Amino acid sequence: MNNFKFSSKLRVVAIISSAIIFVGMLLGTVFHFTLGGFFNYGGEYSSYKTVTVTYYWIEVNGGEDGNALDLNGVCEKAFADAGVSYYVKTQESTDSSMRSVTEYRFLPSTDADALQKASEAINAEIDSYASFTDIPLSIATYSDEQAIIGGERVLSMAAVTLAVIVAIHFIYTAIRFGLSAMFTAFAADLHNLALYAAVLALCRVPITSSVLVFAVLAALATAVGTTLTFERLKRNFKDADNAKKSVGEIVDMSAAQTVKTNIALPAFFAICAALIFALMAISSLSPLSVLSGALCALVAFAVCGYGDVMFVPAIYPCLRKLSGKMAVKRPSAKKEKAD
Amino acid sequence: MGKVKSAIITALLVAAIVVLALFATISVPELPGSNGIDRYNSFITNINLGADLSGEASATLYPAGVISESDYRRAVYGNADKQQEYEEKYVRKNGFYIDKEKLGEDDGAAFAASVKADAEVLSDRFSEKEYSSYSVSVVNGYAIKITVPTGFTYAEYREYMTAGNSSKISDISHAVTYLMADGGLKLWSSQTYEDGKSLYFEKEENAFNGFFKGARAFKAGDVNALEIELTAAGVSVFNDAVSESDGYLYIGKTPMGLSFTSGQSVSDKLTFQVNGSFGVAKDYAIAIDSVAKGKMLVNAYNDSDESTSPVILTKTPAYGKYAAIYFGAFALAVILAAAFLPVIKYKKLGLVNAIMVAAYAVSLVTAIFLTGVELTVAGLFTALLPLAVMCFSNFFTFEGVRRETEVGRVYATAVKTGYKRTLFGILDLHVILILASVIMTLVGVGELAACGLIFLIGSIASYVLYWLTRFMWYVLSSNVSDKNAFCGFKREAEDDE
Repeated sequence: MNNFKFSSKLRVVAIISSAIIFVGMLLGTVFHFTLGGFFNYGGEYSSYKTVTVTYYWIEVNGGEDGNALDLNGVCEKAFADAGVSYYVKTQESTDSSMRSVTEYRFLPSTDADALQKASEAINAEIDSYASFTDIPLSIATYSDEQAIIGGERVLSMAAVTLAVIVAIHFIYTAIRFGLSAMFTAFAADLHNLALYAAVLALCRVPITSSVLVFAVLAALATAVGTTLTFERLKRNFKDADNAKKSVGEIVDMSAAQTVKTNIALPAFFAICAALIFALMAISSLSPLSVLSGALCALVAFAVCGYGDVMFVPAIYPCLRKLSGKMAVKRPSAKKEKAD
Repeated sequence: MGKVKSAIITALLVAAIVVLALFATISVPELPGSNGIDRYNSFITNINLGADLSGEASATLYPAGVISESDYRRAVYGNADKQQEYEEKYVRKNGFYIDKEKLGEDDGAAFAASVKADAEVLSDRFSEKEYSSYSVSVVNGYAIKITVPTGFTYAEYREYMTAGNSSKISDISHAVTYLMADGGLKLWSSQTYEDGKSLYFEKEENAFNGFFKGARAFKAGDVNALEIELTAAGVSVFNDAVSESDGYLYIGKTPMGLSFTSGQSVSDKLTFQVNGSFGVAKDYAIAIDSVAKGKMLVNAYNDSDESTSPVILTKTPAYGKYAAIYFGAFALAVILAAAFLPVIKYKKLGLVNAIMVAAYAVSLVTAIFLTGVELTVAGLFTALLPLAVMCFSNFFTFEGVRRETEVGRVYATAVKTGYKRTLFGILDLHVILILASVIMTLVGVGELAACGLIFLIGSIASYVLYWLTRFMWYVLSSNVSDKNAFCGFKREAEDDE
């Protein structure tokens, strides 16, 4: 049991949530128009600047004195000197001409002149290590890759999926727990999804298909969490021992009884997210590249936990009053009616 | 149920899980006495992995008149004549060497716009492939880069299966080659473009496209097929065109692998069997459908001597070369934690839960392997949600039984009542999850649909295993000598009868 009286904390919860949602959405909209689009599916993720280093057996043939060229070191130094830092580094396979390619990706906002300067510095190093055949083919080039956004279908289908899941949750809650629970479930779904989008916008996590999958998982986890809470509420309302307690007291009691489970599920996933991305960061060539994946998983489940533990108990009494109907007839009410 | 029967059932169940787990997880290099099989790859190493775990494959398309700096250097190196010819013909712009004629009077603005328009058409075509992730981007204004997941299994990624590896690359290469087909639909008299003549003559360019309503690929058993739908006018034109000569369908200069026999009667729906994978049939369908709907590429790509066909390069995943190993280790750690932590609290029942967690993991690995779903990091989280629901369902019921025992019910009655109380709650929670997963699978595209399928399998497994746990209560209860205390649950009242 805890002593938090969430049923009377609607104002606090509303202020926290709406502030985050407002600022997040505002920033997201600003980024949408200034930086190529938070709300464009994959816009920022797919567009980037690159420095691509193509080389042919350079470690084997490089160097007048027979020493291999430390290409990685050369590139790192060139980027550091130019004052730029990449967020993803990938290595491509050799093809039939024994070519290898290393690609460094930079954010679209990175200074093009600095990247050009860095690639020239890399080329100068490569040239100074020239051996007689391979060097003219080994080269660092700077490119600006502008994505053509083709994710409208993915985005619209994900939106439809989310809408249907929210609707199923809405109808199920209405049938099983009554009107006030139905409105609460709907509000919780909207609240959690809006908060998820807003926090991602604040953290500058670009929208990708993984972000959409985590949005759906957040909606499903919300459905599981609210069902547990409503199940407990229903039982407590029916319990004759609670007949004299106010709605707020019963809501607080139910919230306290389910808080462990409602925190445990999102916490389990949040810990999983943190762990897996910590491992990926060790494995990754550039730890920054795992950050957005880690954030979207963490945010999805953190938002769920917050929504289920704080938002639902806070808004339920209010919506119950508004709906004007008793979702579950309490023993005292039944008795009064019978009398 | 007697003790012996109970022990046999438990042993059989555990043995079945252990055997399946061995097939699912243990790869054996060089299998002696296996009639030529030099390596047995486990189910888990045969699961298709997404781009975040097995990397991406990319191809850069250069429109006619554009060559990369690397290709330029390679062509002119040590060849003074070629160098002079190239210096006269090309100008360096945006990191490429571009034909001066292509740049025109507007310094390449119109050319760049046409490349961008082509990239939009390509993006549209590649979206139909439903990759878990893909991107089409314009590189420095004058080239197009296509990036798709390799879809390698771990065995392919580590090159334990080079045949599978090259087959995936070949599928990607096929997709790039056919989806980048430029120009309109054409019917030629020969399989060889240079030797053929057009069987349809019309002054208006691309008029032949208008005779197609669309195309789709489908599977019928093991056969991959392509269905083309023609308009009424199209039927008549086709019948005329193939009345005296065999006909071969092309998009521009790219053959679509479909032929019409001379004198064949053509109807409005034509079905062709496609040699190759379903992906190959889909490539033809997407390309034909796209052109039929008026979306054509303006420029020819990789059509020059310097770059004849697009080179497919595979990249290490952004999460690192060994991301898949870390990913597997993490999944194993979660499964072990889910299996063994409850043992501390629920003792024997915790062990039953552990068996169910193992069964869940093994059945999910097997199902993902059999269905060929692409597994990504998000996919793993999707698989963990039903596992968590199963464990929580079990714990709720265990707690319910504990409560019943504590108020004085004997063991058998407590179990019965505990399950009865949670019956509908757990049933309808699973029904909701299954419904949601069906929606994800049917409505979602790419990674979302793949995750939907994983979630569907997981939700069904979760509910079935929940009831298997109930069955194990029954099996284990035969060994209970003290009906008033079991698995740490203890009656407070001595007798309630």
